[in-house]
Amino acid sequence: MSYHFDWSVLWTFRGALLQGAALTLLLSLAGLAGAVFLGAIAGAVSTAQARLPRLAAASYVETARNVPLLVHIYFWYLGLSSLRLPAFWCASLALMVYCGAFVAEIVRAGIQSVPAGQAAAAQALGLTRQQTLVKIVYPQALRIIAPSLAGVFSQLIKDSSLASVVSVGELTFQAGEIEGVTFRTFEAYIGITLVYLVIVTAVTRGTILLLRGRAPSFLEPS
Amino acid sequence: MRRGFFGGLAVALVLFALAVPAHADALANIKSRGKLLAGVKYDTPPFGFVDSANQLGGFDIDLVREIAKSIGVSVDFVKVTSPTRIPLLVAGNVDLVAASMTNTPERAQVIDFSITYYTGAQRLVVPVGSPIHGPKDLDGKIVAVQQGTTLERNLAQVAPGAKALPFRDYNSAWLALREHRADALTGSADILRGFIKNAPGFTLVGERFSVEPFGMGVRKGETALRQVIDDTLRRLWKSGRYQELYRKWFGVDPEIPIASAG
Repeated sequence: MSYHFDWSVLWTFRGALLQGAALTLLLSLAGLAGAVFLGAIAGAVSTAQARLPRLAAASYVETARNVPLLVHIYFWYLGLSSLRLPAFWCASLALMVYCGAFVAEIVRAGIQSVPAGQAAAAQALGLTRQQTLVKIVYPQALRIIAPSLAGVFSQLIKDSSLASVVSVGELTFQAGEIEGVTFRTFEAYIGITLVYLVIVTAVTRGTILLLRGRAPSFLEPS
Repeated sequence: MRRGFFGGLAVALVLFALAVPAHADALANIKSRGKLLAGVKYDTPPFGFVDSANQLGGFDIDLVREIAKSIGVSVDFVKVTSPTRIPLLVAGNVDLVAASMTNTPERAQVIDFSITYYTGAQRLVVPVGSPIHGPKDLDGKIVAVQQGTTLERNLAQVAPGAKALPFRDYNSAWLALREHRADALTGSADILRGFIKNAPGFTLVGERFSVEPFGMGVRKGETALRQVIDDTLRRLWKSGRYQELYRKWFGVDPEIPIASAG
């Protein structure tokens, strides 16, 4: 193969890579926060006893997740261009709405998978409906959904790379810039692959640790 | 478990080494394949674009067809964009690239260029009535541009106070201007003319602030293929066919000859 690797470009452009990583993290954090907020509410609402809130939550989930994320981004950036939202927020909002739908589904499934006996026992002990939900059902649901949530979070971080199409200077965009100047395609993209790997692994392990209160099973000594 | 792992790794490495092709002659490959793989733009009028009837056409496309005719093979067009044209050529996905590509010293270190077949100029497109009349008025303004092009660098040199907004392809940059995400769009004058043809609210402004010699690209060392391209281009110029194509796509006669008359 006549291609000679030149890894020094990653060092020369370390500033751009750091900038990209910072923006990826910021974008992912904003998206995560919004998605968790939206998804928790929508997920909880979809387990309501009244029919209208359930329908509302279901239509949000179906619409949001059946539209490609790229279309979401263009919707905020070009469709609603009259709002003049900065590209970063267009991408963040798109991520929030899109991933929020997935979180909603996971939350709904989690809540519904907590054994009915738990709620029944709580009510028998005299807890109000609200106390039952907040102190008994939701904490157990959280532990159940921890792995699925970690999955959605890892997907969100990877999906943040789409923000590069609206010129947000995150990792994938920076790789494009580096490659445009140096023509070192392999080095640029392998470089950001490694950074994405580190970020995603850290976030997924962290999420499971946080929500389950203990390390995931594959880290425990056998 | 360990032995199995290393055995598998060894097999994978051997397969990988076998899969990597030995240095080959692109022209010979094209002839034996019976097909020329050409990387062209699909979104850059009038060089390479898909029109409203979903037909691919353009100045680059017509020239590539002539080259394929010289070699005596058919041609398969592969869509490229400014960021992907050189990587795809180097990786072997295409044999040549005719994608409104400027011949620069940095690029010439990575690939080989044909003779210059078009000389372009970089200019600006702004909405009608904009206070921007040229590159001097760009301080603090947002300028949409395509990523991975000489246009980005020229803009930084000529208007350091401008804020560049790079996009992956020309169309996105043009859309950004249309939706007032940017104050101006910079690009090659003839390409910009192609965009504003159907958009009456926009106009070309300013004097040219760079000279862009376009060349077709081949992989480094593919001298035989490059020779065929150069000979074809020169022949087209002498026979008048080049001028015919130029008039067809740019509406004017070419000012700069691409070959000597003799």
